[in-house]
Amino acid sequence: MSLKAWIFALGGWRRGKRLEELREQVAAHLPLLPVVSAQLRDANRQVEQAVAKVGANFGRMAERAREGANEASRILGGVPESSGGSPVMGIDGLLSSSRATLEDLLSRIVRDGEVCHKLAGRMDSLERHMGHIVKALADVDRISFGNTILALNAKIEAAHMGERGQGFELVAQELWIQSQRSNQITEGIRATIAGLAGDAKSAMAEVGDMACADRDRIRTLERQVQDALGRLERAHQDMQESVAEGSERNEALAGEIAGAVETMQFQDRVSQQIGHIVEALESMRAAVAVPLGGLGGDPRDPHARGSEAARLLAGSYTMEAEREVHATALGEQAAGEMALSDVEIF
Amino acid sequence: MELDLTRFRETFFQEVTEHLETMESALLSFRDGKADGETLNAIFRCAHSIKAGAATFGFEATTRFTHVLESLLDRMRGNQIAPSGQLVELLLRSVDVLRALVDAAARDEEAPPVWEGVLEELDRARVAGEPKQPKPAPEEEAAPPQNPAPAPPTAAAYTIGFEPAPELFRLGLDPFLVLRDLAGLGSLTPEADLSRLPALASLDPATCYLGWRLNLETTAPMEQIRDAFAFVEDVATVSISPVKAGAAAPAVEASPKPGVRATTRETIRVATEKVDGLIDLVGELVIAHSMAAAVMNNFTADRLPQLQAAMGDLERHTRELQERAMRIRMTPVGTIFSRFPRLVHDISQTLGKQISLEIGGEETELDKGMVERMVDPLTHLVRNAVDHGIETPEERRQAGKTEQGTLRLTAYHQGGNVIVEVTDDGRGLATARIRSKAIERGLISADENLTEEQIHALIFRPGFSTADTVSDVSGRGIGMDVVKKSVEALNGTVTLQTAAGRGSTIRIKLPLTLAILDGLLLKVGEQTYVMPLISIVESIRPRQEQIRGVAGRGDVIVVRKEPLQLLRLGRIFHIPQNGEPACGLAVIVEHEGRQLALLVDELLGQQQVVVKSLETNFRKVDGITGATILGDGSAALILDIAGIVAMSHAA
Amino acid sequence: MPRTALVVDDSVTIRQMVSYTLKQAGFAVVEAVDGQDGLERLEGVRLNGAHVDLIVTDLNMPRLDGIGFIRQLRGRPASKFTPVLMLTTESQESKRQEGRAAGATAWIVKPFHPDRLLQVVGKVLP
Repeated sequence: MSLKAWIFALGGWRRGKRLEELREQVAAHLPLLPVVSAQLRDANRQVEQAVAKVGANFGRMAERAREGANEASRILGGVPESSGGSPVMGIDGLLSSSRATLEDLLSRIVRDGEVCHKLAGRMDSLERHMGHIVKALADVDRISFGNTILALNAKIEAAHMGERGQGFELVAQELWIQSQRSNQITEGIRATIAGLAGDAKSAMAEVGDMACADRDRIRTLERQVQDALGRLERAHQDMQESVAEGSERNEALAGEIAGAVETMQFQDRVSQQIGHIVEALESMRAAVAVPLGGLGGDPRDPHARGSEAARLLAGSYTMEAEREVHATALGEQAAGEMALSDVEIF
Repeated sequence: MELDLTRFRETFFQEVTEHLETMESALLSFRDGKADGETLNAIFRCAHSIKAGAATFGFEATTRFTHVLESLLDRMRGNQIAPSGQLVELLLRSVDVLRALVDAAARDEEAPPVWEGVLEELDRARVAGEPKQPKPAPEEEAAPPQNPAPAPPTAAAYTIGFEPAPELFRLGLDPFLVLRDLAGLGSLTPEADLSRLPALASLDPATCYLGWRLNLETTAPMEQIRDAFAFVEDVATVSISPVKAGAAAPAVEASPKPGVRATTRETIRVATEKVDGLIDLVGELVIAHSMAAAVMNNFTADRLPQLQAAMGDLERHTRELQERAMRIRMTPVGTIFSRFPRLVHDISQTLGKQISLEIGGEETELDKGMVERMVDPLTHLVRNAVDHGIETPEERRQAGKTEQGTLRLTAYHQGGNVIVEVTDDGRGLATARIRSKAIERGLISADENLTEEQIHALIFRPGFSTADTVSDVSGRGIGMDVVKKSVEALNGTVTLQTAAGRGSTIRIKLPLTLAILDGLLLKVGEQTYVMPLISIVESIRPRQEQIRGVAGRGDVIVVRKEPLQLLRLGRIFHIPQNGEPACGLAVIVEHEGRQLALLVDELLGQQQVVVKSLETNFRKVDGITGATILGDGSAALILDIAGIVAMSHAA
Repeated sequence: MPRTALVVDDSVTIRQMVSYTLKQAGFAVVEAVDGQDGLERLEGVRLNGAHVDLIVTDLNMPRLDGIGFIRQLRGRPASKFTPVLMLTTESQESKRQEGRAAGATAWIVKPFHPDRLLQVVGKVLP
């Protein structure tokens, strides 16, 4: 053999050896591709399950929040007759009617107070009437004085006229008697009026006392009712505020859930991406397997199981689940928990 | 016994109308920035009044609504809530709702359902101080803005063409939903294009044949309009073009009502039928007048009967017009009668008496001014009757009467007057008793001969009865003379009819109106005066010897041995009088319980005159209460006795 | 009477989110995992005497994908005019047009905010 031929043959032998080494290496790694795919798929499945669980929780949370809001609303507002069940007066309704009653009471109290007030006013007008009467008295006085004067005049005239005035004297006399009478009457009237005034005053005092007493009582009642109304108002406000707060919280919750709904859909995207990776791995395997001819890449090839690559891969696992997927993919054991249908063997 | 409240419903409804108007004007003044602190108070008071009335008549919805409204207004006027523009709008809407509620109540119908929604808004405003905007339902939420810069909110008009492809339905699309979305943006006027619509026989229900031309007025931006076509754009021809701004429909603002009148003027409510009747009558009067004028124009002696007939017509119409006009001021006396059932009930309870109150003639109408001034006298009379007139059940039984006493309050028209009677079947008054009491009190002399009426009339004298005579005689004298004064101030009279042991009747006679007076025409010198008939006791022709002068104190006339002050009207009014007193006439009048005489020159006769006030047209004049126009067109002054007496003292 | 929606998607998460959103809006929801399952469910509803007011479907599904599903829907009387909402991803423009051609009413891009889903539903349902 020539040197050329000998070198050529040596090269060929070396290439063959290289090829053989390569073949061995690929043979060691290729079967692991399915393992990697299986891991990917498993991871995907777990994420999907976790997300699904959270999603289910949302539904329940939203339901509870809605129920809570309805309950508060029912307690506060009551159940109207139209709703089919038996009508219930809510706190709102109870507060309203209590308030209406109290205010009605208050207005009655005020009205009665006004009546007493009017009564006192009547007494005042009575007093004024008395004043008028007293003034009338003065008139009467004047008349009687006038009468007296008249009578005196008459007497004087009569005296002046002397004999001629005899007839007139009689008239004068009568006038005098009249005037005396008048004065008596006036005195009588005056006494009457005085008595009247006294009576009126004491009556007024009595009524005034009554009105006073009532007035005070009325004011106390008024104050009490106002207090009660105030407290009622405050209680109502408090209740409404807490219901409003509850509503706000529910709304916030709903908003957050809505946001989360959007976010959680990303799982689907990830899932699709993983699907693409797995496809890529498969086509890689197919692409390599053909030229290496005969390298089926069957993971159950004992060569693969024991290979360095397999050991390295196995060493990287931290979870039981990972080891199970690995073992099943390599056909090491029919893993009890893991159903074969979870892993696709291709 | 409950009074029928239905007539007062009318009054209430009229009141409500006025209150609502007041509220509206006041609220509008907020809009115009002319409100002040008093405005809120005024609105509050209106709401309060309406509530009170509604509660009385049992209008539940109105009461509830006004109650919340009132609370809100209360907080506002207490400065706890500020009157924002939104709040004012809400309140204006509430006024409308309130109007509707009251209308419904008036027609006994159900309230329109919208009121509950507004009620809630009011309540929220009351609690929170700020009206919340109602939350939009999710389907109606606006599209998420893709454009950060929002278009300015001025309304613009667009012309839109929308022609869906025939296969629209097969995509599960519904053009109606597009139109609905557009309509939600503003004011939409669609016009359907039916040109592609085939005959019914060849119509395929799965194919869309319709198109639309639409006009849309909206403040929404273009993107929002386009968004309505989001899923149909690729299967329809859509064109949206803005219309050049022609005059945008001007917002027709109702001219704001004139601000709240600060009314101190007195007003009265009049039923519209009365006014209508009046207007009709004026029409007739005009016709009658023109007929008379026609006769006058071509008057010849032989047409005298026609003239007389025409004059008769005129007179009749005028008289009727006068009466109708007077009646405008009339209100039913029942408005004051309504308080008595309660009063009688209370007092009779307190005193342990059983009294049944019968009321008749509540619809009798009286001049409005008089109605109010009758309250006190009537109350007094009723109290008297209950306090002293009607006996205790025990006493009544012993007297052989029914244990329950009856008090009757009646009102009716008679002639040109209104009569109000307070009748009781109680103790009555013994005429002899009155007489002896009067003598005791020195009101009459023992030998005076008085008729029964005159004796009964003594009751009305001031100082007739005092507290300690109450047990003997029914009626406290204090009140009686005051009652008389009040009635006389209304140009009326009051009389007593009584029978011992059987009961009494107080009869008040009032003229139909203060505006018309029964008077005695008299002359002093050349001047004509009118003296209110009601004050006149009698008139005499004095004999010389009846008249005396008292040095320094004026004249006196002796009538039936009684000296009466004689006032010379001529002197008081500074009118030259003719001749001696003996040539004249003396009119004896009664004033505040005593009699005096007025010297006049001539008596012209009795006449009903229309009183015209001097005060409002000129000024107050001493001794005169008004003036009137006589038939011959001349003016006559109406005398005021009290004033004349005062003037005589001053003179 | 609550309205009924049929939600078709092979992703349990997406199905869940769509169902939740529609339920909040008062719909009764029937779920299917792919186009074939969807057709069977539809038939089931019809046999019960009820009907479906809205169909929401994904486009990528095993056995019978979205496009095929929509075509079949439009061929059946019960679902000929029912509004059909496609769930698409951003990158599927052409797929969307295909869906439209097959008879889809509207579409919504994943991931979606629930309010947006309801807004679109509001546009296609009265």
